[in-house]
Amino acid sequence: MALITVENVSYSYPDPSGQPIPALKSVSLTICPGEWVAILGANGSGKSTLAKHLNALLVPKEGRVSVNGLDTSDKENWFDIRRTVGMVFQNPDNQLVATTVEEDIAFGPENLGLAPAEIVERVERALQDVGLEGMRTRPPHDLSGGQKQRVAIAGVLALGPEYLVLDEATSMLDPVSRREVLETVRHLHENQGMTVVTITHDMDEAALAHRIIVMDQGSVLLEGSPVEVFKKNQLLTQAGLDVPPALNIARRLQDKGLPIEPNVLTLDKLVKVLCRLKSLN
Amino acid sequence: MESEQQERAGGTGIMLKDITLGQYVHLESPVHRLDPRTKVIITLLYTIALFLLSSLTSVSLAGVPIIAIILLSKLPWHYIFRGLKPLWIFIVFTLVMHFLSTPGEVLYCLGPFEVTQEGVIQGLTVTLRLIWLYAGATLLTLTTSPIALTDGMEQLLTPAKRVGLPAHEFAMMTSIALRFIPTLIEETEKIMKAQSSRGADFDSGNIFRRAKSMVPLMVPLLLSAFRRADELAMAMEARCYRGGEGRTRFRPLVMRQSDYALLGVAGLAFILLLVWR
Repeated sequence: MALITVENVSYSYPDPSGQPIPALKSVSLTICPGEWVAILGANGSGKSTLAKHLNALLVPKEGRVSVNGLDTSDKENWFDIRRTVGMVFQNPDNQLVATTVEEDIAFGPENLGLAPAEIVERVERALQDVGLEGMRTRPPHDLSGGQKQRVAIAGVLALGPEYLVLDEATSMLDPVSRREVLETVRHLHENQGMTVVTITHDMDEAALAHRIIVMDQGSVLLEGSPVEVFKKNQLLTQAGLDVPPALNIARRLQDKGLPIEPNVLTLDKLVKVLCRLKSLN
Repeated sequence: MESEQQERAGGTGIMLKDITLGQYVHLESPVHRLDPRTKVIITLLYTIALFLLSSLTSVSLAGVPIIAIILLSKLPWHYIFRGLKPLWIFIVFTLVMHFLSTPGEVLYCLGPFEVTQEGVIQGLTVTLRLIWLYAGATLLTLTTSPIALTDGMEQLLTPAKRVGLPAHEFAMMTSIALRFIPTLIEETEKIMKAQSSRGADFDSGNIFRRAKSMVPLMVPLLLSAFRRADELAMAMEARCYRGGEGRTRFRPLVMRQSDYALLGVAGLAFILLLVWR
């Protein structure tokens, strides 16, 4: 059974005095192979806590998470769950372990106990997948933020995962690096059928997904395709979120009487639509 | 890479960036190609041998292998002996103390002090021993990358795991420390600039004042180091790390024939020395 299911999961952190602060309240969702899901939410919505449940870094206090049929609350399953669900974190500096790019990518396969020849092959493939073949012997501190995140992705790919979870992986990057990382993810999704889960508060990033799950105060507030989700202005505002800038512009142009469909989510698409309008007139 | 490192190591400015740990210089040479384990064992044997030798002649001859290795390693000479500079005062002090304090045949009188022949010989022997010792250790770190060195140490200490020595943990800690030194230096510079822009003064006043001005630097640095450690631990766990158990290596260390040959020669020389002494 190849999918991730989250059933009625609740989780709370203790505050300094020991009182539980609820972070997730009875959350249920399913992630199917081959899709691209964005989990969207403002700070404190519980989206990162949810992400850490997907590969058993956190275990639900109530409810159940299972990855390809493996229950995350069973410690025996953690190793297999983590090699199936790869995770890339927010800070590019704090997830690279080794002193060179290739040694870092090899860290995961080394932990899996693979034969050296197999590790070499996996490192090579991962380097190609993220397009960093020329950087193999560079130390991490010589790389740009985007390159570091691509190394982190490669390090996860070398584990041979079925799911790739990006926990705010682009939030500390400049716009150029962000695009570079998302381009790499899109390539993996389209050419290798990688299942992608992006945790984000960036609307542009969420717009790339097939399906968006909006989190607010520890619960799922909304779920649906980007076009459907972005129609619900009021609920989004309630969750402390906005619609993608491109959609915002499209709506205003529509209000001014231009014939634009309100399904324009990305800047690229907006440009295309406007150019077509211009050539028609 | 090589020229950059040379430039860095040779620079006179005291930027934080200039701090290099391990001092490794990447070159293609037979010495660089040796297995780190071979180099560690030979350095160890050499150190013991140096202390077993007692006559000035034998200690002088102990320089022959050092010089041979320097020639083979293709390292520029000043690289090995540059590090002796801070030891200079120590060397002179040792020499003078031995010259003056050893009883024996008087060569020269300096007021109440007497320079003896035995003193001169003793002083030269001790000093030479110190220099060879230093050169040997420096050669090891100059020709072996820090990662290879920690790997080699881990392998050599593996038998000690049975008595509870955490060899893998030591090696992992060392390599993580090496990975984060540049990151933390960068961060220190960033915090220094941020504090300076708000009027902090790091380089005037006496030593106590300066030490005190380091507090607003150390506190944020420490806090962030702890946060980094926490996040790194989680990232490592997410990549299936569960200690040294069952772990394999990307580039396993391989002992070549040249390694065995050299170890054989060194071992034989060491035994001969023990017997002949």
